[in-house]
Amino acid sequence: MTPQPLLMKPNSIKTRFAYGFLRALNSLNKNKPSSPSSPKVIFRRCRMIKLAADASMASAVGSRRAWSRAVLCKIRCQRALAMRGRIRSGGFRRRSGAGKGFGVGQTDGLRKLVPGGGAMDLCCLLDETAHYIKCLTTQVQVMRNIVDICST
Amino acid sequence: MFRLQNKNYTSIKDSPEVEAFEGNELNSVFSLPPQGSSPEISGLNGFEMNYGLSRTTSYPAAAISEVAVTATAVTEAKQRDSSVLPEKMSFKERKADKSHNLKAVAEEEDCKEKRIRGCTEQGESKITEQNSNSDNDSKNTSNNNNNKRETSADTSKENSKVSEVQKPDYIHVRARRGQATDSHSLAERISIVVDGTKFVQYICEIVHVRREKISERTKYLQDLVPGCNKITGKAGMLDEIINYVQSLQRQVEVENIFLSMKLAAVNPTLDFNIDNFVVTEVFSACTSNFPIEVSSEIANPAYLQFNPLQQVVSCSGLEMGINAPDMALRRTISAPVSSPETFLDSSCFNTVSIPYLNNQ
Repeated sequence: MTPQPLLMKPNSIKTRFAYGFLRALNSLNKNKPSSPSSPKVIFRRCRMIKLAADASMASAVGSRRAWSRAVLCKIRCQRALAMRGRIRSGGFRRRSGAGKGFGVGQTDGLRKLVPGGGAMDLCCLLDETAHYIKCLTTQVQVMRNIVDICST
Repeated sequence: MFRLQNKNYTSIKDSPEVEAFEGNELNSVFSLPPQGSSPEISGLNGFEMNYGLSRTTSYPAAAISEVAVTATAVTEAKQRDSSVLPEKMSFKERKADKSHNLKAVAEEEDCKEKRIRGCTEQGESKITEQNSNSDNDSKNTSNNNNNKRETSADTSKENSKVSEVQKPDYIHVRARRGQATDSHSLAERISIVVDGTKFVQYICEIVHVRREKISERTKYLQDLVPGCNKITGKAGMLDEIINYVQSLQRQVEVENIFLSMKLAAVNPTLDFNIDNFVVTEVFSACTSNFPIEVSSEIANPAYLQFNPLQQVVSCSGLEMGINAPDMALRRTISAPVSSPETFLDSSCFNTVSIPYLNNQ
């Protein structure tokens, strides 16, 4: 009597993201059962949730997209550095030539926004941007629904 | 066939009839169509033409040296090596010329004939370059084919021997080159055109494909980003995309904050229920605009998932309360307001409502 898998496409990015994200939230809540609501704790929890959302989104997309690969690599690096006790966010970006008709500053702005966009050419960058926008929309929808359900 | 001719030529090459035979060979080669039925034949044809031309125009020793220089330049252009040459300036100039031609052709593909005319006008200045290109071609093909290697070796031998025999001065380079172009002007121009068109077409195809890709993805992004269709300029469109991505990221941050605060308030024991519950709800609740009750939110996605065709009908049915069993279920569920029981009941509701909807 498990009705849930029948209801949705099991392999869609949305489903996988929701499963992964809820699992991550579960583990987060289990690790900290006693939750005093001081702002520091909330801030830390917020960061953890953001990390969990990013990681579950990227792992739901898989490694066939450049931006998800970049996100996963970044998270892995951060985790490895956090294990050692120092967190240093170092972004190494290299810029390839901007395309015709597109301003260099704007292309750079887009490169900074899309994860892993520093090492793409323009064609690839536009492609990844489209996919990234789709995934961000999905993420926002799912998270908003979770918030709504929790608040009711 | 051509190889046989070449070997005959190498056997004859000491005789004084070299020039005449060469002319005959060139004419015979030229009489063949430049693009044969099979690609091998056409390749051989072009190769032979280049071969003959390299022989004819590389008589002067100064031209040979220049050919060497330009050959390295063209190999650099083709293989895109990053080795720095001392003659990089001239190479850059030629590259600029070529790219200018390429842009013109990329913009108008119909102006091939115009470009051909331009090539024939610039033919005298580009002869050495094209010949070096053909030399390069012959060398490249010789790496692949032993026979061709033989012929290229033959050409080098011939070049050296002929240069030894004639021993021209630097002063006569112009005149000799002009002679060569005069005697075989048509064949040379044809070879330039053939090689040039192939090269230019290749580059044009690359540029064209890239532009097509970029414009296609730009259109896709325009469809994806709301309010981006009205903007015509690429810069404004990119600005809009950047703003949209930033706003999405900000929305994610806001949801993070909400979620962290909510999860701080919610008991950790609820989470399994959430895990069962939300996964079914999260996907379809985004399409439903009924934040009135938990039960309505539950019932609606079930309809949406199972009867996508009857989506509107089911929504209206839920709103007006037409379906009697559904109403009963809703009443049972909507009685408890506290969250854990609704969570548990929601899964029960889903299990109950599935056979009902399937029967429908």
